[in-house]
Amino acid sequence: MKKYIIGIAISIVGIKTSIACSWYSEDASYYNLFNQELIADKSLSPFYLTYDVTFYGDSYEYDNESKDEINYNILEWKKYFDNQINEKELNYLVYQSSLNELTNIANTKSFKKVNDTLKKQVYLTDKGMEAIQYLIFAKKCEPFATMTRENGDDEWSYSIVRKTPTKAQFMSIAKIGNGLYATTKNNDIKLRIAYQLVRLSHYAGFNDDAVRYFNTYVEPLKQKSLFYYYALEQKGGALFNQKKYAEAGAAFASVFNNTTDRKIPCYASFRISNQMDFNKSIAYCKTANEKAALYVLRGFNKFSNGLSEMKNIYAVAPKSAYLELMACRALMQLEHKAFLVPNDYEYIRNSTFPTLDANSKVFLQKIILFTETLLKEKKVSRTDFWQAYVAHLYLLNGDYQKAKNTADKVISDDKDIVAQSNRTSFCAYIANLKTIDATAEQKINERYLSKISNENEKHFVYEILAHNYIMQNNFAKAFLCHNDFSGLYGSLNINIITDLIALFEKENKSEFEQSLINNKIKSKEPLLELYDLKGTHYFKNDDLENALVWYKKINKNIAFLKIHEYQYDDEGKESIIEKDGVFNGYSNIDAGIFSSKVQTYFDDNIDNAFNDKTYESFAFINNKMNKQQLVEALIQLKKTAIGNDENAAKANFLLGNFYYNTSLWGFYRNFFFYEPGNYYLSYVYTYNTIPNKLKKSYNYNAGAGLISYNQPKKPYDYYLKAESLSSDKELKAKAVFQASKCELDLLFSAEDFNFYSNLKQLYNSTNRPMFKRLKTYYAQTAYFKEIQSNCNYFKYYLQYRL
Amino acid sequence: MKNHFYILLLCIICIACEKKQQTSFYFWKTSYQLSANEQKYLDSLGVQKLYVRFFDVDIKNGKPLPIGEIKIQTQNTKQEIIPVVFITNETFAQIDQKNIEKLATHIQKEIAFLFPKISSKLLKEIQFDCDWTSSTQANYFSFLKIIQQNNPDLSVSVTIRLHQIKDKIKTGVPPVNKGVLMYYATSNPLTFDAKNSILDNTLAKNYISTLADYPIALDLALPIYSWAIVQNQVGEKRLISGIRNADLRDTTLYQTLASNFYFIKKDHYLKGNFLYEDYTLKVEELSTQELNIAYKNFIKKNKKKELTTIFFQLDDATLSQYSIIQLKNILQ
Repeated sequence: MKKYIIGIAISIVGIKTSIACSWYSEDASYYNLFNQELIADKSLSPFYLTYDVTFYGDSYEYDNESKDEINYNILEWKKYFDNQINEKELNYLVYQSSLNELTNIANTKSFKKVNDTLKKQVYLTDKGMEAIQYLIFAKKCEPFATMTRENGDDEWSYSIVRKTPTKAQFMSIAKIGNGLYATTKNNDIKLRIAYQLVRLSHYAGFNDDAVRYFNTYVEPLKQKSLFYYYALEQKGGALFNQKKYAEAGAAFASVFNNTTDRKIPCYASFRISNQMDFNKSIAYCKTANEKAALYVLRGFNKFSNGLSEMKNIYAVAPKSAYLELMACRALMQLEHKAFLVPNDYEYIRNSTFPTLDANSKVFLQKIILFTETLLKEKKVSRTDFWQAYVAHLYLLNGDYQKAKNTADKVISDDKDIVAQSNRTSFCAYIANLKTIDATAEQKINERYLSKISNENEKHFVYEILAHNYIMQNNFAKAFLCHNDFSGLYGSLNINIITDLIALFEKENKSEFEQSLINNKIKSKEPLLELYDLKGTHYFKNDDLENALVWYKKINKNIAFLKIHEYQYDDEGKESIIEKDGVFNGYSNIDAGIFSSKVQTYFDDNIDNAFNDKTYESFAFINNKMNKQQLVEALIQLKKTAIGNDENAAKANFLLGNFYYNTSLWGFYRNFFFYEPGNYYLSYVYTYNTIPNKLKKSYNYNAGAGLISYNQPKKPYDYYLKAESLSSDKELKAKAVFQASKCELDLLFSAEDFNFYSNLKQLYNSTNRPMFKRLKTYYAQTAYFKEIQSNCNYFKYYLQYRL
Repeated sequence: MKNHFYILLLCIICIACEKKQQTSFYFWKTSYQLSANEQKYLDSLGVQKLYVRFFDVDIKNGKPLPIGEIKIQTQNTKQEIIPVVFITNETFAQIDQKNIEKLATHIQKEIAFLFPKISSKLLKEIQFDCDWTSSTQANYFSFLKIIQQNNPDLSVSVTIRLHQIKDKIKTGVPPVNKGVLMYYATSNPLTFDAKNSILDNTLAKNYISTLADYPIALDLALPIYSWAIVQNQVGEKRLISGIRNADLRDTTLYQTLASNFYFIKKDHYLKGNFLYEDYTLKVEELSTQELNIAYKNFIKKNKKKELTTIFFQLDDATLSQYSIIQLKNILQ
């Protein structure tokens, strides 16, 4: 299978943010803790609440998988043939067989010239023959029932139309149908013929005929089977075309109520636009459940006020599953508001659960009141469902003790209702905790170890835990609720790192602490990685002595960063491959970090990136170093740099190189951000927050990079000092040229750097003093020639700006 | 004799004035058939060109596809029809360079397929409507160039939003000769504040302060539509088009909260839409005076001599709010 790579991922296994970015799920934006699958009637599942697609269970647009739908027509045929023919064979008979084949069977009463799949003795019986005759008729109707494209070749040619029969064609087919209806004895087949005639009339635009066929052919059979409702749906369409909206509405409500596969089309066809029609439609409905279905058709819209329709349904059909459906939809609408997954928005950061606004709160109170009354009146069919439901409403209301007490009292034989009550009870218990102590931790651990939790519940609980832990200054535990160490790469938050070290060093960890760690941290040597993080916190702040203290605790070459690339095969299946990057997180750092070159490209490999070898003058700089050795080298260089001799000049030059290379525009710009490569910097370029400023934020993943660490002034000063100390014109030229790079960075950094800044205009405002210095003092050096042939800025300067 | 000369001169001036000012409409419904009243407006206002939305293009299953194509019931024999294609910004955000050409071909083919159904005249102009941004600019502009190259005899025009005038450095100027400034949508209707989000003349005026520097010739589109923004019990919002304050006079159903804001007292249907109690509703509509101010503000800044003003949109419900005389007065 052909494979191709389309993107480079970020460095840490398990981070899903970059994948998640590609598409947003509203359904995943809140903690859904109530299970709407508790609704008694499973055929209502397409009408469960979802924000991502129109109907629950529909595939997302991104993955175009078709649903494995039940073909009710085939099941009816199966019943008709007393289960003697399997579904595959029936599919051939109904959909794939040709008119010729069926006509052959009908005319010769044998299986000459037909596909083997059709060779079933039962087809030659009277019952079978009626079916074959019907199918011959159905195939004649088929061209006028299916949609075809009017224009062309692919999906772009969209004028999809249904072929309309001429009056003559219609009359001729109807005549066959009429005859067949009269001679057919089996009522199932008669009903099918009648259905075909109603549909043909409706699609052909002969709405009166459609209604007439229904009333005279379908109704008298008194057979309320599937095809009765299929025919009723067609009659509904015809009534709608006749502008008899109330009658049409009642027809659709009946079909909705009595079929599984026609619920969605009925919803799509239903349209009543004034109260009078709606009242009439209710009056036309024959049963309480059909009336209730009509309220669902009106109230299914996500924008609706579910409570209003709940009241309507309760008044006519309190035992119906439609009441549970509308109740669940209303509850989840509130859950969608109350338990939003916190993100970078200020609104959530400063709130605690439940995050309901005043209007939603009023709505919730009204539903609570209604449900409490409903429970008192005892007209509903499943008290256990409604008890679990009201307990969850209390949870949404922030009335945790009441929620727990109510949920704990639910007695049910339905294991799903029991599971729901337990979940509501446990979430209420957690939400009610003022502090998280060892007892609470023990309880949480027990619940998860017993494996009865679902993912949403787990995340919800972690959410509350994380917030509470932060309030208790328990940073490590708060952090571990949602993050692995990569959550620190952007910020290197010292409070969290220190607290994590204390937790990892603790000898008698509780079971809960151990599972909290195991849940998120997959590292082989977590403590060493934490020492590195602490050391690097100091290193990034240029506190080399303190950095060394922590690096020394590591005392070996560790490596933990990898590049992850997404691979997609021809079918679009995703897989991730792991590769080594330029930087593994701690060791194998090339001496090039002290080097320079006229032009450095981010995608160069390390051997091409640099050509200056000044660092070879210092024996303490190894070709490959770990962070400890690197910091030791820097300390040495800083000591040497204080002097006045040529060595001091070189040391200043190398320090300039190090700080330049690890700055925003340097080849090692990824160094302090724990990126394995320098080409794509997720932490630097993603949406940033500064975690330690937020009291309750749990999301440490956001980095704190770009501007804060771009310090071109530092290398600039080292380069100028190198120039002033050195007597080597070549080194001086190199230092001045490197300083010119910093000069440009300083210019752009001083500006409030943004994507839309007019950089060209900004650049034109500088007269490049370092370039002038190069031209004035170092025009005779070999390095000057190298710059001239490799740096376009410089060429431009010499040509136009001098 | 002298008097005659002045009268003649006056006539010439008037004729010249007439020539400079054209009135037109956008037709944005999904089924094309003009009612007698709609036709009357076109005739009385001397409309020569009608801008008809043919279809939208959006990304579906990862591919750009046409959506909501117009169903053409009758042919228009009077006006020149200008097909308008709305393309979502997302389309240009997702498409790659090599598929732009394919998209252009598809769109041309679809227009060629639909156009003869609506008009027997020659196709002279097509218009694209896209709220492009700086990030989609390159793809959109390259698409426009391809369309123009493929159809050198055709005039390609685009709609321009107010923010694209103000931020022309950021969003760029499309590579076409003609544009229509959509002089509306000055703020986000979902913010639900006191401002009229369809058109706030003060805001709009700020947006066009640099209009004189805009490099392409612009016609003007003015909003005669109205709508209600409905907020439900959990704060979600929806738009219902065609609602005006005059529709909300029944005090048993509506409680006035503030100017243009209403509270729904009980469940009922409003122009075919079912509203539940506890909803809040905000109406946005524009008076002829406000539209006249908008028009005047625009022509003060617009240097173009010939101007077509296109009203959005042609449909009976909207027209019932503005008489032919009122529409003429807007453009005085």
